[in-house]
Amino acid sequence: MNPNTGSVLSAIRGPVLLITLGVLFAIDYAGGVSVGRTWPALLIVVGLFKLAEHAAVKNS
Amino acid sequence: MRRSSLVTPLLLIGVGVLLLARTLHPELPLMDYVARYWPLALIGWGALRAAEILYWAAASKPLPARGISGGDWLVIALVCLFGAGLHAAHGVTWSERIPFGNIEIFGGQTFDYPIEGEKPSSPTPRVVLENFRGDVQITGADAATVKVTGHKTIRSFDQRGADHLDQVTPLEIAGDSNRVVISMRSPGGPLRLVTGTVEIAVPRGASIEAEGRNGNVRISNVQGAVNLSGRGEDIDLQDIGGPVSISGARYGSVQLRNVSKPLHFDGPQAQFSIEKLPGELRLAPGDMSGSNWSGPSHVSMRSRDVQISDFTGSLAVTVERGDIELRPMRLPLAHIEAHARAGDIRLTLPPAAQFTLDASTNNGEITNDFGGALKLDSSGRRATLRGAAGSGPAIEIQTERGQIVVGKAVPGDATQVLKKLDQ
Repeated sequence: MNPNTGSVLSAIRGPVLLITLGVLFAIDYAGGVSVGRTWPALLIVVGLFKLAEHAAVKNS
Repeated sequence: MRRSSLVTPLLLIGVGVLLLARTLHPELPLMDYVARYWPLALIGWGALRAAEILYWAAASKPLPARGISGGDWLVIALVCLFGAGLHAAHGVTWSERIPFGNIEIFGGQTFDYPIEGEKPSSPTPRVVLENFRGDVQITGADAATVKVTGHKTIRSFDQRGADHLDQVTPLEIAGDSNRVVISMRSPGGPLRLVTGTVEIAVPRGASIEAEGRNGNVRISNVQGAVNLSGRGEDIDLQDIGGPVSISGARYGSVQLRNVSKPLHFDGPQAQFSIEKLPGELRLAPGDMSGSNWSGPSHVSMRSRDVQISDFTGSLAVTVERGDIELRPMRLPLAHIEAHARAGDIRLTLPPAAQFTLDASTNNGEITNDFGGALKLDSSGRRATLRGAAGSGPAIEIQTERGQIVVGKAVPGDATQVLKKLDQ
């Protein structure tokens, strides 16, 4: 893995979280599941990023 | 040196354009759009920032440690609070279109022209309103004609232009004696250049159908069915002999009184059906109240307080966010169900009421006025109240987060509620 991958992942985590947040609200307003129920998806996204960053550090 | 991002200037430009449009054209329904589509700004913000970072990474430029700074998150939190508040106030989902037809981006002056028309009809005609923009008052009368009176308001830069628009937008009363179609074409396309304010006198046996309208609708004293669909503002129906069906987004209040047949309301944030409504019902942006209903009735609200008093027949109320207050005043009781996701539930019963109760809250307390007949159990934040007072129908009350009060009515309660309805 590219040694730069770790820093890219860490820099891009915020924007991806923001996109996820927007998508959760969009799903709510489009008549789907309410944000009150889908918010744990944000934790999952953070967790996935942490895992990916961990793997990147290990492989660098 | 800190790498500067394109996102902040773009956001500032976007907010500036929005505010400028609002100050130059206050009549534009911009807030409707913002209330509905603000999550797209978050997605755009995130996507733009992600694209920037990937571009810098590909160009081997130094990357920021954090793609979104602490200050940015603070702004995002404020945007979310503001957006969610606005959405709750405007209450529309994406499936409900905001028609461009309501946009008035036209300056000029307004000119008024009288409207008049009449058509003989059978005693029970179907009166259909098509392509009509404006306010309508329909009243049933002892007549054998459908008679329209009122005025047309035209926006134009000068009298000549207004005269021309008046000529090309005649009020048309078409159809036959059993189906009378009233329409007034508006050539404005997306602009609302021509609106009407009309009073329509119809035979008492008429049924009414109106769709895709913008404005206030008042209908009284008709014996046929009333069917309203599309977007609009206030609705006021009184003394309706036939079934009533209302669907679509309403931005004003809905007031219904004395409806003798089943009543259905289907909006983006509120749905209800009532078998008969000898009393009244008022639906405002923040609450719904009603009295003297005949069930079975079903009420489902997304974010409103609900107060219903003096109802007979079964009743089921579901509220996502809001308090529920129910006061059946007549015995024997019927099956009652009340569910709230976040909100208090208060049930006030006549002292001699007989019922079997199953009440629970996952996070709150329960107050019981009926004494030992009902057993209160609390463990942690959860509380249940179960038991029977005599042998009566089941009452199920449940809230995820909120207090529950099962109280006894005292003289004067009814007048309190009715007073509130009159306000």
